[in-house]
Formats: sequence, structure tokens, C-alpha cells
Amino acid sequence: MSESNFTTRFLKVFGINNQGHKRRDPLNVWVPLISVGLALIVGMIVIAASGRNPFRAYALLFGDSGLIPGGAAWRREFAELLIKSAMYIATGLSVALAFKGGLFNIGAEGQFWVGAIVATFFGYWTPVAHTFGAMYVALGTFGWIAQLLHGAICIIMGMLAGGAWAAVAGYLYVKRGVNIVIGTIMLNWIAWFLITSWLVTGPMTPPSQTFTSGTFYVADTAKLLRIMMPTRLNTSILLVLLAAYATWFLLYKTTVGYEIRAIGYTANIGMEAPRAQGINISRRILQLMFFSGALAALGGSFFILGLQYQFPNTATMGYGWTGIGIALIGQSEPLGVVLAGLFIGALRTGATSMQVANIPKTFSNIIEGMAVGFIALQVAVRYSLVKILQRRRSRTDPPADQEATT
Amino acid sequence: MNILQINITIAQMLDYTMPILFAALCGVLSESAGVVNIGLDGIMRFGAFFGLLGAFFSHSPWIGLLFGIAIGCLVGALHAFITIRWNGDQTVSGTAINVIAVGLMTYLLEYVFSTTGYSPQLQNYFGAQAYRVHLPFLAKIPLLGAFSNLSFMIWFGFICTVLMHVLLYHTVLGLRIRTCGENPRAATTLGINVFRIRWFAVIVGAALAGIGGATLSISSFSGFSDSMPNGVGFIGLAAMIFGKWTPFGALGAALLFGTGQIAQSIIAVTGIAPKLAPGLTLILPYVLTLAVLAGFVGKSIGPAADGLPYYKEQR
Repeated sequence: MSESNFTTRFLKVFGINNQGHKRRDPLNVWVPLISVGLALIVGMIVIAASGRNPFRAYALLFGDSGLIPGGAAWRREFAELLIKSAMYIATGLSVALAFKGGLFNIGAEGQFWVGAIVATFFGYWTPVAHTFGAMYVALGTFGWIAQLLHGAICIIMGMLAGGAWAAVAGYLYVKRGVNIVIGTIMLNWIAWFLITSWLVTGPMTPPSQTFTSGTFYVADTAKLLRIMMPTRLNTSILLVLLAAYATWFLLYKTTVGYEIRAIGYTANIGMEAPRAQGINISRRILQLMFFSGALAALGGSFFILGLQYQFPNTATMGYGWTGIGIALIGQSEPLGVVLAGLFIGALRTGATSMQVANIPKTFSNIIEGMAVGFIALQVAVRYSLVKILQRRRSRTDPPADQEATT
Repeated sequence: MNILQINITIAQMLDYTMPILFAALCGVLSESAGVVNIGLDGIMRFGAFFGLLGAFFSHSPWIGLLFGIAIGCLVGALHAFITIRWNGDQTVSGTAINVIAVGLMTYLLEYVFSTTGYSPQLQNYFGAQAYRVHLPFLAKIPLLGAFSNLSFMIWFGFICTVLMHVLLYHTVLGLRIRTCGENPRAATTLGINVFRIRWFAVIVGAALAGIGGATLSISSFSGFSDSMPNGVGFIGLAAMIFGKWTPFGALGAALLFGTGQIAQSIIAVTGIAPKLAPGLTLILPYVLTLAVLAGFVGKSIGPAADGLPYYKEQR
């Protein structure tokens, strides 16, 4: 083996090949897989260290996750898995899209809830609800058209609001130089407190109810259609797959996507190249944040229209944070995000069953957090992988080893 | 509203301020050295639980405080290992700490105390009369009377602020820390070991966040609840920015935001603006922070090399 050939191969393992293009690097697949694997092992150790049987716990976790067909409750679990995944994939796509443009949208959480509250509003707001209610009655057998339209309006309004919320952070970044991470964190909490401490307990609560009851319920026409009776599975998973495809198309098949990626590739080095190409960077970043926020808000509208049918007073944060983990595990590629979202959805579904073995359902957070931690450590993971690959090569191919050591 | 009520309100406000202050000081130290620590909310959660754990089993809040410091150092070391040793993304690492803290603390709460939601209540905590700092000579003076009977942690917070100010602005080490945050390359040319300084800043900072968490569970309240710290770490982050990355600025911002936290009860007592929605007082820290960052009200600019991994050989 010539030295240049070895160098090329060596660089390739680090994700650098002749084209300077990282997409075909096998380690981009292996790093998240290994991270998740290591996280599962650490999770096992945590369970074992607390004196419980890790194998029984994991059997419960994966047995009831809906991933493995069979069993009496499988259809229900599979439906739950898809319902949960739809929301996580939406926030994951949101974070992933922003990553592609070199932005860390930590605010998917806030955008999710903005989307949720706006979808709730258009779901129950009397003028809209009555119009579609009347339309549903008038259309008779074609009533599903009214359902489709009302649902679409709720989702679109939610997405517009979520996008606008994210665009505020984009505006502050572009025009005022506010760090996008800080800006989106602050907007997260502003959205959260405005919604949970004011809207949900005040203006949007039915007057006859106590303040603990959450908002009005959305009209029947606004609810997402169920596609697999008798389970709760609704159209959200189909919509989110469509959104994933649209994200992929936007990123890899359109000029805007190309420009977004160009900005992302050069984000750490001043974005000179795209600027020289005549790309309007400020505008693209604003658009990117808008798309990103809209995707997170899509997840929020699923939360309301597919699951809760009102904004409950008991909502807890976490969808956006999970989205960050999913985007990282999915390496910011739409397909990867879908797979990672399904995996996390499965973990969350199965984790409720682990309560039988006295393990709280937040256990899946430990796995997620560990996986994200190992991805943060990816330089170390890559380094040790390369070491292992080299050692194996030296065992099977002594001359190459000689060359490597000299 | 009489003097006694005012005194009680001030004391209550200080109770809310201190966790925010400790989190903000963590941010000040670690970001002065150039490492962003988004995970301080998670570190506070670790600190809150382990602080309670120590105090519960030893029946002494001092042991709880030590536990809080120890776990803070440990988690800080993890953050430093990821971001300094392996140049990992600082925001990603912080997110990981936050997510792990949510899952692990609930797990441990269930494992140790077999309860969900709340830990057992402590008898011996810093808020209990026996552990308060009594300064009887202040009690008669209006306003200062609020300071006559405070939890030890509140005084500790003030002391830490002064110590941090002295450390950052009046010692050689402080100058080195700030150099590493502003221009690590220049620091290297002066023979400063940037990595060692950053390790120090992150670990000591995280210890402060751990203390902040412990303050929540063994001083402001007498137990750990599953919702802790309920975003206090992020308010701390906001206080750090609003205070322009300085210890005394952080103290001022923390006092302001602490007031915002109990504004609701003040409104209820005094009857000022009863129609004001609670959400509007809670968003105050974040709105002010954004306004300051955007330059609508003054201008807050962080250390130049904040958040950037440092590669020694890179040009």
C-alpha cells in the first residue's frame, strides 16, 4: 500500500475524503449507533447498580415499545409509538434543519408550544369552529372535507405562529447580533410562561371551569382523523413523514437549501464563501429560522389536535429538548431524524411499562441524555474507532502496520 | 403594608435570589474562561438532589452543602472532559447534562426514597431557626431588619459574589481566566496553560451551580421536588448576561429577577395592579435579557472567545 493511499484512507475514516464532502463517511452512521449502544449499556449499569435486573427491565422496555410485532397489546403499542414519534420527529426536524444552516435552534421547545396554543385557538375559536361545523353538516357524506380543511387551518396557523416565533430569534441574531442559542433559550421561557401562566389559566379557559382545567376543547372537525381503529393512531405520522420529505427536498433539491447548506458549512469561518457568491445571508437565516420554527410548531399542533384536544394545564416541557437529541442522533439528516425519532418514540412507549419493574418512566431521558453526551464526545468516539480499526488492520495486514508506524 | 411585612418580603426575595445568583456566578466564572455552560440547570438539579441526600442521612445541612459541592464538581468535570479535553460542542454537552439530570434525579428519587414527586421533608435545613444567622442588633432598624434573621446560604451568596469579584479582577489567576476567555491564543503565547485554566473555571463554576441547587433543596425549601430547579438555571443564565458577565452585575440582576419571581405575592399583598397576569411577571427576566443583548437597553457583550473550543495548533 502506498503512503498516499493510506493517508487517503486514514483521512476518510475521520470524515474527510477527496471531495471534502462528509456525507459518504461510514462513521457518520457508526457514531450515532455506537453512542446509542453505549448509552443503553450505561443505562443497564444504572439499573444493575440500583439492585434491579437490567435484563428484565430491558425486556419490558423493548417488549412493550411497539417495535417488535406480536403480543396482545402490540397494535396499541405500535400506535402509541407512532403518535409519540410524530411529535418528536417534528421537533427533531426543526433542530436538524437549523443545524444544516449552522444554527443551534435550542428553542424548538418554545416554538412547539406556540404552535400548540395557536392550533388550540383556531380549533375552538367560535367563528372558525362554527363555520366548519355548519360545513360538516351541509356536506353530509363529504363531511371529511370540512374536517380536512379545519385541521389544515389549525396546523397552518400554528406553523405560521411557530415560524414567526423562531424568526424573532433569527431577527435578533441577524440585525442585533444576539447569539442564537441565548436568544432561543430566552424565547423558550417567554413562550412557556406566557402560555402556561397566562393564556391557559386566563383568557383561554372556559368561564365556568376552575383554573386547573386547561383551555376550551377543540371542535370535532379540528381533530386529526384516526387511521387505525380502535387505536388512537392518527394522521400525524403521515404528515410528519411528508414534512421530513419536504425538508429533504428543501435541503438537497432547491436553491434555497443549497444556500442554507453553504451557510452552514462555512458558519464557523465567517461565511465568506456564500457571501462572495452573492447569497443574502441575513435573509436566508431568517427564512431558515422560520422553516425551523414551523416544523417544531407542527409537532405542537399534533400534540393538541391528535392527542389532547385542548391545551392541558398539566403539560410539561421536554419535546423540544428531545428534538435536539433526535437531531444529533440522526446526524441532522431527515432520514436519520425519522429513524432516531422512531427509536426515541419506542423508548418512551416502552418506558411506561418499566414502571412494573419499579423504574420511573423518565428512564428514557437517561438513555437520551447519555446518547447526546456520547455524541458530544464524538471526537473521542471517532478517535477510539480509528484506533480499533488500525489495530485490526495491523493484525490482518502486517506490512500496512509497518508503514503506519514508520 | 407595615415594616414587618416588608421585612418578610425582602427575606423571601433573598431566598429566591440566591439560587439564581449561584447559577449566575457559575456562568460568570465559566464563561469568563470561554466555556459556555448551558447545563447549569441540570447541575443545579444534581446539586439539589444530592444536597438533600447528604442533609437527610447526616441530619446536618452542612454535609448536604458538601454533597452539593462534590456533585457539582463531578458534573463540571464531565462537562470539562467533553468540551475541553475532546473539544466537544459546549451547547450539546450542556443539553446532555440537562436531559440526564431530568431522568437520573427522578430515578434516584424513586430508588432512594421510594417516592415520586417529592422527597421527605428535612428537619435540619438552613432555613430552620437553629441554622439561621442571627444578628439581633439589626432587628430594630427598618429595612435592615430583614437581614437580622437570614439563612446562612444567603450570606454565603453575598460572600461568594465578593470573592468572585476579587478573584476575577484583583488576582493574577483572574487575569489569566479572563485572558483565556477573551483571547486564548494570546494566553498561550504568554505561557498560560489555557486548558488547565478552563478546567479550573468550569469545575469551580459547576461547584457553585451545585451549591445553588443545594440552596434550593436545603435552604429555600426543606426538601427536593421533582420539578426542581424549574428553570432557575436558565434564569441564572439570563442574570449572568443581564449583569454583563460580572459578579456584582450578576448579583444585581439576580436580585431583580428574584423580585420578579415573588412579584405575584407582592401584588397580592399590596393590591397594586391585581389584574396583572402572572405570566407577565415571570417573563420579566427573559425579556429584559433579550432587550439588553439586542442593545435596546444598554449593551451586554460577552467574552470574545466565549463558546469556542480551543485548538492549540490551529492558526
